[in-house]
Amino acid sequence: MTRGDRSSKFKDFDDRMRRLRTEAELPRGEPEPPDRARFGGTGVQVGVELVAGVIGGALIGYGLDRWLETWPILFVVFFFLGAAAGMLNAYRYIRRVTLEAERDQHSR
Amino acid sequence: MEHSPLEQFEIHPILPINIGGFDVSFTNSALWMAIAVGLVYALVMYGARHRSMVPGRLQALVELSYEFVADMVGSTVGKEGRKYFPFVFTLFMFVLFGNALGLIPGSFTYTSHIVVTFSMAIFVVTSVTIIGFVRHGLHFFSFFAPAGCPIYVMPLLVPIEILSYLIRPISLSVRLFVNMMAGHIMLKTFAGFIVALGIFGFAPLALTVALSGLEFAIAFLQAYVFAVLSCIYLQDAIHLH
Repeated sequence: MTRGDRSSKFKDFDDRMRRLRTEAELPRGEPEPPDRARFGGTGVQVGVELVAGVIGGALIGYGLDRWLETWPILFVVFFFLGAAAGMLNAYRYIRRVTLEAERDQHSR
Repeated sequence: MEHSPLEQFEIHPILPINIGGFDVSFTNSALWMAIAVGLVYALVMYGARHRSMVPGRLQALVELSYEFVADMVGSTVGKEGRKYFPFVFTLFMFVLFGNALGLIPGSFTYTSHIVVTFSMAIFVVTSVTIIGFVRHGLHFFSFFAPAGCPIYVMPLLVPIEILSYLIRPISLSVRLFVNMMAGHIMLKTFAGFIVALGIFGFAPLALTVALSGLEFAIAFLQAYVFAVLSCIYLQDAIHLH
């Protein structure tokens, strides 16, 4: 947020900083976080997504069944819909992580 | 050993309060939440008090956390996300301090309770939904019907999309709660082996030290993941995919 609006004073500071960094042979800019640290154990995160899908679907189905007195039809239907929704969420999660990793590689 | 690894998650009232049949006691969980809020407030207020051009250590810490969250909001939500920055910052700091304070021996980790994380998650998803409706009106429902998909798969696809939306608070809260709870149980279990194994206790001791380091990383990472996912949901509601 503060990156865009730098006055000349700051620019002067930036130039000096860059010169000093090259003199001291320091890497330019801020250190990049390693890819794996980005989303923290993608496997676990995706697993949570899958499990949450099944739990959420089953709970919603059970609730609707209790309300409409149609046990166990909606429970079964929502169990499978929930599992599908969990897979969809997991897929989106993986796609997001992959896209981000690719973007990082390009920008490097 | 005699202490169960689950004992650390017990909630006891410190100041029993009962209003109209509801138990609203001030518990150890509430105490640590209050401590976290107080610490964040004190850090930001005290750290930024000089507003100096070249920041001192505390001011650098405050600026670092500000820029970290600002960059996160900027890169995931974009320009429109700027007005939601205070919300994301509060969320991030509250979760981060909850996770980090929980690593102090004898303290209480409020983020290891599903009630706490679920209430936060449901608050996030509800407010994001309201923001979506305010911004797009009824057009927000097009979020559940992916563009360019044949009409005969809609009856199957729309319920799945709606469910995947409703599941968000569950996955968001379970992620944080499971990570914190599992980590603390693991630490306590391995720490329990140290005395039990006598002279060979150095092996679990080394492991406990390593795990403590890992837990610090996870404490930060989970706060980051919680905040970044909130940002992504916000972005979804603002831009509708």
